[in-house]
Amino acid sequence: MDTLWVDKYRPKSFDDVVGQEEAVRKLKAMAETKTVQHLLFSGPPGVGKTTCALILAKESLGENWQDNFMQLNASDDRKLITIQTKVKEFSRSKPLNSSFKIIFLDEADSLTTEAQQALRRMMEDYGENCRFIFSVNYQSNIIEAIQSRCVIIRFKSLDKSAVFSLIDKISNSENLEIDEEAKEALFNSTMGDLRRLINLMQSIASVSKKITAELVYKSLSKINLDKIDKIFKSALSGDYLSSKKELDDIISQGVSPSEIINAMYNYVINSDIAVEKKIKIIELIAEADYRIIVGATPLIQLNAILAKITEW
Amino acid sequence: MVIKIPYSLEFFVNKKVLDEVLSKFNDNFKAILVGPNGVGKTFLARAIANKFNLNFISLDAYFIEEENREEILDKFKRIISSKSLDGKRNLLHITNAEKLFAVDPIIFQKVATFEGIVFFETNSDFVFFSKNKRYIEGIEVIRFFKLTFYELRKILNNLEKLNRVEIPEEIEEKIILNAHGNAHSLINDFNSFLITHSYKFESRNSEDNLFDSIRSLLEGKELGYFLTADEAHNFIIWLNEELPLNMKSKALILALDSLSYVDMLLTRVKEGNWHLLKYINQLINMISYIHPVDKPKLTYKINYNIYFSR
Repeated sequence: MDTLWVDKYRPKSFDDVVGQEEAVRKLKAMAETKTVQHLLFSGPPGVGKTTCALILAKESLGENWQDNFMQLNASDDRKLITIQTKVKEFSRSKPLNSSFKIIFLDEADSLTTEAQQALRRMMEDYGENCRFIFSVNYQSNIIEAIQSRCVIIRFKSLDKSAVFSLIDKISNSENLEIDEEAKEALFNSTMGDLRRLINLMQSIASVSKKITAELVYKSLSKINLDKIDKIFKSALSGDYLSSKKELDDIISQGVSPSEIINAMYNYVINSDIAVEKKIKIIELIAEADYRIIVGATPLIQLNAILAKITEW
Repeated sequence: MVIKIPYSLEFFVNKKVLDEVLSKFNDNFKAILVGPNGVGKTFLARAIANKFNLNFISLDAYFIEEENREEILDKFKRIISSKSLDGKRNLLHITNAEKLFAVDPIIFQKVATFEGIVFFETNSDFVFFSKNKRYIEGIEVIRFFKLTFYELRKILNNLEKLNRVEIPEEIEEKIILNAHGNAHSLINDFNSFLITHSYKFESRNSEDNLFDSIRSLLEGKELGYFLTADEAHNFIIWLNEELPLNMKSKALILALDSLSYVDMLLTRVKEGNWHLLKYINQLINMISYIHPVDKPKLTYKINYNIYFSR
């Protein structure tokens, strides 16, 4: 295992990008005509926003694209003054061998309103030379003045078929053995976030060339699925004490509560419990997770889930 | 090609505002332009500057480096009283004027007495408060509203003429509706259409596709996944109105119960707890598995006039 798969399978051209037909169609047209407007990429993590921005820069700026491209990440200094000086310095000079430069602001929704005001101003002042690309998770965190000056490109959360096709592609080139159930498990546990998916596949593949659903859940939570199965079976049959015993077993192995909750959730949505009951259990799990985030004691919340299930 | 409209008064579509400004315009004209984004405030100032052969000098109140009132006033005075080499006078344009007002309202009083032309610009309604009236005496308040459908259409037709293209009426309509009264949005979407030939315009306002989604959810189809907490939040607010019309007592209670959980979870998704979104998606989708409705009755239709009302 020498390279990170995330880098290895990062799309090199628009044709490699999976599941974003509409966005890719628009971006391709922009790259072909070499006209880029100010853009705002919105969508959840791990669906290809950064990748597409890089490809767009490469294809529209030509050979020396790196000279005409600047990326500002959330991890960089986000003080207003730093952004101002960096952008100013970069955009003051004429672009080389191209009609414009591209400034890419990753995770722009973490910018303060004041910084956004400054950027709005810069978009107008340097619009001749520079195009701005913003990438955000929450479109609504961007002020209207910037939104209206950009063309919105939406990246959707990836659906099953797109995720499956990527899984197939990776497993073919890495000689992995993978069944439908495992694919389903991979999809459910990563929710369309390809970065997580690829990392997960790499970590599993380092253990075994054959990927099964159980391996997926195990590597996610290190929890024995049989135990979770037992917990729910006894709780649903009304036996609180034995289900609590199984839960205590898992906790005593040092598994973190959020992993247990995650495992419970994955178990429930894939189980054959009746839908009405499923929805109630998911509500219970969701509430427990919520309460833990707010600061409640995980142990008590987990027991409460089981107690409520036994009551039915 | 990135499109711009030439800053000329003939392309300014809001005739009422234009007449008001032109009838009052003089060598010492001061105005505060108030209104939402993308309705032509800056455009008007620039076009006026062009028409009367003035240099357009723009400052942003957020980024005025001078610290105290006197320095700021000095700077303004210097700008509006100086002339360029070819004898042109300056038009001073100050955006985000509400910031300046917050620093010191006296600035406005003083500027009103200066000789020269100043346009302030703001989104905020501070100028309408009666307690602020005394500070802005002598400065004309020019009010802008969101552009109407017809004004947007006029702009779009101008754009088409300027670029020697003609686009089908239904696409025109799509672009106009997606602009929500904002000319910047209109121009950008039009430009994007010329480049990409794609007429699927992504909304800047998350309420747009809501009703289609609600309908398909009530019919028992799976919705797919919400991308953001805001989207889900908007959705459940409307769902809360629509469910009672479509579901019978027990199903309704279950569904509303789920919604209340979803609502609770949403408060925390905004703080970066992305994993909560998976419960939200699952719960909303499951409502549809359990209680499909044959023909949903939807009361609220998107009333586009809301956006264009005056």
